[in-house]
Amino acid sequence: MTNLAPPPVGTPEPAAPDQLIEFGVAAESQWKRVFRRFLRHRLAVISLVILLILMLMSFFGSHIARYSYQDLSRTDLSSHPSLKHWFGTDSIGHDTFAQVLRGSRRSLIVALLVALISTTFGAMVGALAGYRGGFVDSALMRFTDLFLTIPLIAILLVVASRYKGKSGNWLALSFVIAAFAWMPLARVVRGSFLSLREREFVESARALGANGRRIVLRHLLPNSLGPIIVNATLLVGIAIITETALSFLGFGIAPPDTSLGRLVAEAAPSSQTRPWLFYLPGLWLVLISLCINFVGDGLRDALDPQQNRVRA
Amino acid sequence: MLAFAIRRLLVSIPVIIASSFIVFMLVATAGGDPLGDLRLRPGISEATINVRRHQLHLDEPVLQRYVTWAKGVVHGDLGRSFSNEEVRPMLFRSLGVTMRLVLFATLVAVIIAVFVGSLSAVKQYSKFDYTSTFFAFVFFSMPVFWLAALLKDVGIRINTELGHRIFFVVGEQSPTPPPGFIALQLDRLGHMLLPSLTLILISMASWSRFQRGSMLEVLHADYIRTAKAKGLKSNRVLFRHALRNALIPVVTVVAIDFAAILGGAVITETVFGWAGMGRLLVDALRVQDVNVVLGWLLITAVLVVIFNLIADLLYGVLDPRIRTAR
Repeated sequence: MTNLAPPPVGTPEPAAPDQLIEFGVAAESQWKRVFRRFLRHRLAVISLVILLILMLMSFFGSHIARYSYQDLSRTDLSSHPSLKHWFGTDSIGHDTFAQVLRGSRRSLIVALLVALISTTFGAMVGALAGYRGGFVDSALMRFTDLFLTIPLIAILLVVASRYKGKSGNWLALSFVIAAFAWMPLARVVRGSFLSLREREFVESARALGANGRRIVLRHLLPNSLGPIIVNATLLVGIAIITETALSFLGFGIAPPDTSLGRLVAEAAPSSQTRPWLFYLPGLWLVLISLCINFVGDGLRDALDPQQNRVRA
Repeated sequence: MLAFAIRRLLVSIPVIIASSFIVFMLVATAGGDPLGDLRLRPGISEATINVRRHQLHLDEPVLQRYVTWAKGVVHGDLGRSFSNEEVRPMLFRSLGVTMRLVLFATLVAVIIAVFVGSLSAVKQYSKFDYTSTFFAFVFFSMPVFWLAALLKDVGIRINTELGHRIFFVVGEQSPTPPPGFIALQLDRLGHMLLPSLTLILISMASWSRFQRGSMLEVLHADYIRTAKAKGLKSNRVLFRHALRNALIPVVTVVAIDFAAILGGAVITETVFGWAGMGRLLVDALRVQDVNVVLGWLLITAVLVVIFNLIADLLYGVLDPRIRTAR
């Protein structure tokens, strides 16, 4: 350690292992730390496992399940949940479990698509507004104001009724919901960019000759990734609830397609006589959205500790 | 303060105009036949339909129709619905029904949320904290319509179990309301029980979390330590120092969420068969009755703006620093 002479060029001095131990911990990568912090949130980890199981069941369960959603039982009409029919059957002999699997696959696809579209778009608009400021920024803020003055569900109803024939189509419906789901994320990204762009590392990057694109993509965006991921997760939960609400009011997924919202809406009038048709799809839906919210909470703890202080 | 309020109201006018224009375009250009119902009626001549079309300005270009509508609004006239009914009385009738539900539910939800949130902050990581957190997440994750339908179902079950009607599950009042003012109000209150419980549980969930977070932040502030160090009683510190400051963010959140509560009321009313703003909107959208939709939107937007303004003014009352800064 007393050798102060520079090491010969081309052969970098290997770090002595004992030295690392003596001077604190080995550097932990950022994502490793995030992962460790997420694991500490036990409820979020359990929720993630349940959520993955539910998603696997929704997407691939129909191949394993005993009944297909089209199967009609001649003998089991309106039968209670049993080992044969886990979630019971409806009045014409459809297996409810198969219906739920099909419905939740549709609901999940719509929700994931909504989250993907609106996160991408929201992050882009927010990045532009936060980095450029000026016109884009104020246009964005006015646009957000617009949607703060009208209930989201009312706007969605207006748009969905406008495209009534088409919004029964899941792809169109996803775009309709996504069109009004990106604003909160855009605001988050904008806020994050506004504060980040004044920081020293951005200044140094600019001094080193980095252009705007490089600064946004390599410096600002990675540093805003935490809030973006958290919001994207929570967006899935919001999207799934929104889709079911629209389907419930008759402006969402339309027959012959089905979703969890439609299953519950159709079963609601007969909840007295065939409660399983109403409660089991509903509980399935609540379980999915609850798990998403717990995972989102865990991610917020892990990725975005500052925000957590306000909304613990 | 007055100047501030007026400025705020003026700023929101262009926003409302813009949103009304967008919605007008969406609804008016949707296609379909607005007079389809009328056409189906037997004994309706082509001439009658043309007269009605002219009355509703359906024979004019879309942009001109918007201008006609906007001119009417300035004069306090919201136009007529496709069923040839004045929109304004229609709206105010259902607005009364909805506001009864929304205001009552919001008030109760705020009180409970502030209590639950503060208590779980003061007793952080206690059993109460964990339980309230869990239930907040559950109700937060629940679609409004499912909770409403669930409460309705449970209400009916309890009624049949007891062989006596305790919970009213349909309508905002009995079809033949009991005579007398007090009896009528009691009847309405009974009908309000389950729908408002729906809204209370849903809105309480996020507000109590918010109150908890803001209370925790305040409790860790230096001036709380100072207050304690001065030897003030802990109750006084909690109520006069902590709670008062922790309420400030929550007030804003409640005001911002007001639009969302109205949205929740749309769904709750649909489930419980209330003749309120929710049914009005959903029914109007089914036939693309543009005047009703726009009137609905206008009233809602004005309400939201007013509530946000009230929140801003309350903010000043709760936090003197903002008052002077203004």
